[in-house]
Amino acid sequence: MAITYQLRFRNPDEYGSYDIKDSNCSGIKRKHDRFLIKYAKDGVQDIVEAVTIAKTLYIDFGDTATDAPGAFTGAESDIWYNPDHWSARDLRNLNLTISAGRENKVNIRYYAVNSDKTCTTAKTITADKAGLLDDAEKEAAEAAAEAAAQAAFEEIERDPHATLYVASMNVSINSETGLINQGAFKLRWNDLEKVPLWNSGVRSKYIAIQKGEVEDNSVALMKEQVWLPPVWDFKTYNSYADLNTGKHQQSPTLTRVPTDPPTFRVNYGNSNAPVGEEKGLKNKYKRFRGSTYTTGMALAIDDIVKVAMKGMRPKSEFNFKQVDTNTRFKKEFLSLFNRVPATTETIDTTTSATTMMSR
Amino acid sequence: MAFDTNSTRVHKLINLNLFSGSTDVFRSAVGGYFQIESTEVRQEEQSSISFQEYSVRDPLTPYFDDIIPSSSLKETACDEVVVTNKRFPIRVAGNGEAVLSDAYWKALFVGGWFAGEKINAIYNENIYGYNYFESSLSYPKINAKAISGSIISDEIEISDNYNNYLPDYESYIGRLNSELLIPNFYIISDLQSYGVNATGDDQIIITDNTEGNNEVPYDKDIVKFVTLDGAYENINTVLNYVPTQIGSTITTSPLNTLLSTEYLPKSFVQNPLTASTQDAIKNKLHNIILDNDALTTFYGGGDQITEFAERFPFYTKINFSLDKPIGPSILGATPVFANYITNNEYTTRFLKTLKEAFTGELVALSPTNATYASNLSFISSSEDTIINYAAETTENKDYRYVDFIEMLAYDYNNFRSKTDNCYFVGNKNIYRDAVFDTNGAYRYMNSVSSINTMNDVIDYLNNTANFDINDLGGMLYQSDNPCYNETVAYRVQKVGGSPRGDARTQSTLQNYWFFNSKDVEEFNFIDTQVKYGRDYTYHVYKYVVVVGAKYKFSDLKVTKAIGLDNYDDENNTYGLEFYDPITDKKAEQLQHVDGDDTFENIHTLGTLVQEYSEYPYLADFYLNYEPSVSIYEVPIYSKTLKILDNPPNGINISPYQHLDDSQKIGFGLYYDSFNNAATFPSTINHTDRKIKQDYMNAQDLLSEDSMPFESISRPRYMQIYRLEKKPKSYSDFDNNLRRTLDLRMPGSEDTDETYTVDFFDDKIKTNTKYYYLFRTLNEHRIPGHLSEIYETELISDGGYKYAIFNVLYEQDLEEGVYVNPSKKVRKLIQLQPNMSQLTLNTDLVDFEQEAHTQLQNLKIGSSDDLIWNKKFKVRLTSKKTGKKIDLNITYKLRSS
Repeated sequence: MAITYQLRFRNPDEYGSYDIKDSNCSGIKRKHDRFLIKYAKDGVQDIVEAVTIAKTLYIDFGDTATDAPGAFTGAESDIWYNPDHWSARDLRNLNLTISAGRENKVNIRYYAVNSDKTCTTAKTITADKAGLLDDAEKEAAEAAAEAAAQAAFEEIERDPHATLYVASMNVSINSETGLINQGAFKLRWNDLEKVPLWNSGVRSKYIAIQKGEVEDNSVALMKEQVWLPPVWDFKTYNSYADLNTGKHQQSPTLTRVPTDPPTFRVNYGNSNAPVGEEKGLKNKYKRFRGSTYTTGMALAIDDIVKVAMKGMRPKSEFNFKQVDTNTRFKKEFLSLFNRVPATTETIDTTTSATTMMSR
Repeated sequence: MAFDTNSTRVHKLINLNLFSGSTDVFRSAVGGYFQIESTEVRQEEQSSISFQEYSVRDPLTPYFDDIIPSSSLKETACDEVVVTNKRFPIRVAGNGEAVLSDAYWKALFVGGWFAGEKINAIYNENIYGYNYFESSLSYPKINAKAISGSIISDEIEISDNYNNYLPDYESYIGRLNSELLIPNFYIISDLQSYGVNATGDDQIIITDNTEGNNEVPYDKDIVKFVTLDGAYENINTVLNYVPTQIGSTITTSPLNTLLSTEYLPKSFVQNPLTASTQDAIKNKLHNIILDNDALTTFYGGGDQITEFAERFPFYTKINFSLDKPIGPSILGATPVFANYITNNEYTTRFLKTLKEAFTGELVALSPTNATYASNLSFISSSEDTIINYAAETTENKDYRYVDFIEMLAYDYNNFRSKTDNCYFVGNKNIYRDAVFDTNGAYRYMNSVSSINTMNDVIDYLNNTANFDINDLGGMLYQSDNPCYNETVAYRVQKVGGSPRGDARTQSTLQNYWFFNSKDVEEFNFIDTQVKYGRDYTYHVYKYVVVVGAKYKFSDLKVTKAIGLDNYDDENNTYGLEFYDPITDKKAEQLQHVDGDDTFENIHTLGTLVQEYSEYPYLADFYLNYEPSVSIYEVPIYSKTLKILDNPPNGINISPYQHLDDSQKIGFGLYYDSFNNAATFPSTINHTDRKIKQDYMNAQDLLSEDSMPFESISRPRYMQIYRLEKKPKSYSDFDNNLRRTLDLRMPGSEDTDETYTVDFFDDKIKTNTKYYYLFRTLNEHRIPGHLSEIYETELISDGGYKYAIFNVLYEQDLEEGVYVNPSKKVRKLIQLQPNMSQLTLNTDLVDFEQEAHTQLQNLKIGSSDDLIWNKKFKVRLTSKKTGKKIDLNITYKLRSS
């Protein structure tokens, strides 16, 4: 059963500290995870006899949302006025501090300390300053909330974000070179955030990837989808991480084929060629200059990295090898003199001279 | 000289191989070298460097008649090298009158013995560097102030500001185990432009302060640090004023902010950081980096830096002008390499790699340490003279540098972060995130910035307008064209305590790295992470990109005569044959141009081995060269200082006598108002003198400079010194402290309220003189101005006792032992030569000749015993005391 507290709250703009006494928490560990809050309407300065629910603050420590605030509808509770309900034996204080939050919000910080340490908690929540609505309003609000949630979901979709995909397939490996045999092939990309797609055999591979391994003779590729406003479009590119392409192989460039589900053509290019990995990556990032894109891109990449790197500690040959397939500079190519140090001289050049300038 | 010592110190860094006497013997032989010249001026040896010019086709050594470069034969030495690299042949023609034979000619180049004489080789194939460059170094402010009529415009100041006395804060940070845990000016200032939002899960997020309240990515450890692990959420308003209302007037003050009233004295001292936050901060803030964006934010406009800084209780400040390239317009030239770095979004990566390289964190990119001649020209003076001196010094000095091309290649090859002990001030963005990438997720970001910068640098070097060598005199062998250089970054290194040993080996508390942004002229560095009264040494470095060259000679071929008589009288030419002097085998000449009138063309058996020449001896070799772009670490200035409060004011004294038989006298002590014309207070003991030295040093004050500021903390103590013997100086009062009065108001332990008036009574003996001296100490026990000395005596004439108070000033203390140590003797005694000693003797003068020719024939004096140039001793003996004075007199003639 939920325990409901009632707090007289004179004015939502009158922030301060309040004590709430609980007569019903005698040593029982409870989940204190939920508040239901209702505030006085604007302009009402104090509680009167015809007080309505809107003028009280309900704090529901119940486990379910249905326990409150119905019990207090239409009247002030005896709990508030009747000292009998305030048991001295099991008295416990809930300290509540309410301060101004952002517009139409209040920040509520509370903590409870009990003699037997039960029910001890400390949290800060943000609540709607306007309080809860009646049933009709509630329904309307729920509908509005649903619409808002949908809009928010869409909005989220429009925000810069990234989704991790993993694809797998059996591959044929050239035993001599260790390279994937060259050719065009199709991949089925699996959005790991959509559970049903896991059932296409990728799930077990993904779990394996998380452990740092994929199965022999299989390939696991990662790609990201990055979307940035204002263009409604997704751009897909190959992953940052190198794949099981062998030490002599250039990183592949993936080209998305507009089919459903999307398929990709993999080209093993030369990093110095006009097309290829570098070109693809360059295209990928060049739109992100400027603070808005920079910020968005940073967030997007953070997400990608956070998720992707969990399973990217390679152990086997066929894994996300973090080998650098770019052309690396060698020191002998940087200088004609090949880093031979200049001749060391030992002569002393100490001098000192002063000339009078002005008097 | 591109710079004027009237504005700045002019610094030249010169390779030692450019000096005469170096292993580059060829240079010493033909000219184009620096040399040391010594002269004696007023019996003092003076030395300076000068440059021996290389005259094109007129070498210094008598063995050579000519040096002929063939830049038309220039070719790329190695195709595989990414930077441009060339070689072209140089021909040396021997002088037939000086060179004795073919064998002698060979020995001149490769060394050996000839006719019992050892001949040192002029030629070698060593690799030499040419990085000689000239740049400006700011005058230290204290030196600039000492220069009479100073017009120095380029100064560097390292000093401190003490603004606000927060005893709890001072005491608390004094106990912290690391300065890095002290609130940082840049971090807190940066957060003032953001919003803060506390989430339900006890997280504090930074927002963009707009209606949308969008999250701005910010380093979570830094947020924990400044919000004290969440105990102080509204860090974004901490620099706001707390208005003070007096009557109807509301005033604001930089001393009265949330920072000074809430955050520092209360929240900060009451909420120690968690161990995890401390560890993270001590790691990250070891190196604080201000990239181009951060510099523009802080220094791009307005004077917000100064405004915000004044709200902090105290800090070290370093002010100086950032180097700008010199150009024809008043705005200067456009920086080349700084632009490459910024345009390619390489700033953050560049600064981090620079940090890693010069702090020894990268084995693969450790700086080279090499010795150079460091030549400095400047104006020198001191405060006790009005004479300025033009000074020039040279010394061997070690400099560190990294090859910029290697650095770019390193960054390209190593896209994963090696270190995380640094923090880029400001919100997170993709460039700042990328440099901390340890798993390759930002590989593209990290590699494309460096490779694009490298492309730009190589393009720059390939442009012959920027770098080209066509003969020895064009660049390598002359002094009028120092290498192009450009300051791209700076470092402020903070070391705890006084300097010990080499600056690089001391324990560095913290480094600040910042880019030389083209949008910032004056840099006002603020360091609030300091404890009160602790010594800190600051080293300021600049990092200069220098476009120099590496070069070497190779493929030497020399000639010998073809046949015994190889001279063609008809054509006045010699028949010569080239050979390799190491193997003595025939070899083809290098300086061959198709169509030349050579053996190959005029004789069917002729090859490139043979040559007709107007010179009897020839030698060919290649000059191989390539540009070298290096980043040099150049120290600008170092100073040790400590944060100190200002001395308190003086005391007005009002003496009085108790009109009873108690034999008590007393003094009313009134804390005086601030006198901004006063110099630093006179001192009594060693501790005072150390404080004075530290304060004057920190504030760059000359001895006659007035005190710029009043004591910030209130006067806390009044000290009363007493002597029973007349002092000769203030130092005599040392160890004679009679009493110290504590001015703190009773019951005000929790406040800093103190009295400014107090009274001191003293019971003294009658008919005995006492000397009293008074002064104030502030809360930091810094002594204030000394009062006058009160010579006090309670006179008892047998019945009535009355006090006499005489005031003595500092100048009254010296006893007049030598009040008038000299008398003008002329009034008492005058020694004059007899006229016979003064008449002109013209017996030997020939008046037919010009006067100046006869001067030596003119004799002075007609006496047989002339006094000139003879010494006389005149002894004066007092009849009264018998004391003697000897006058030693020599009569000399002088022309006037």
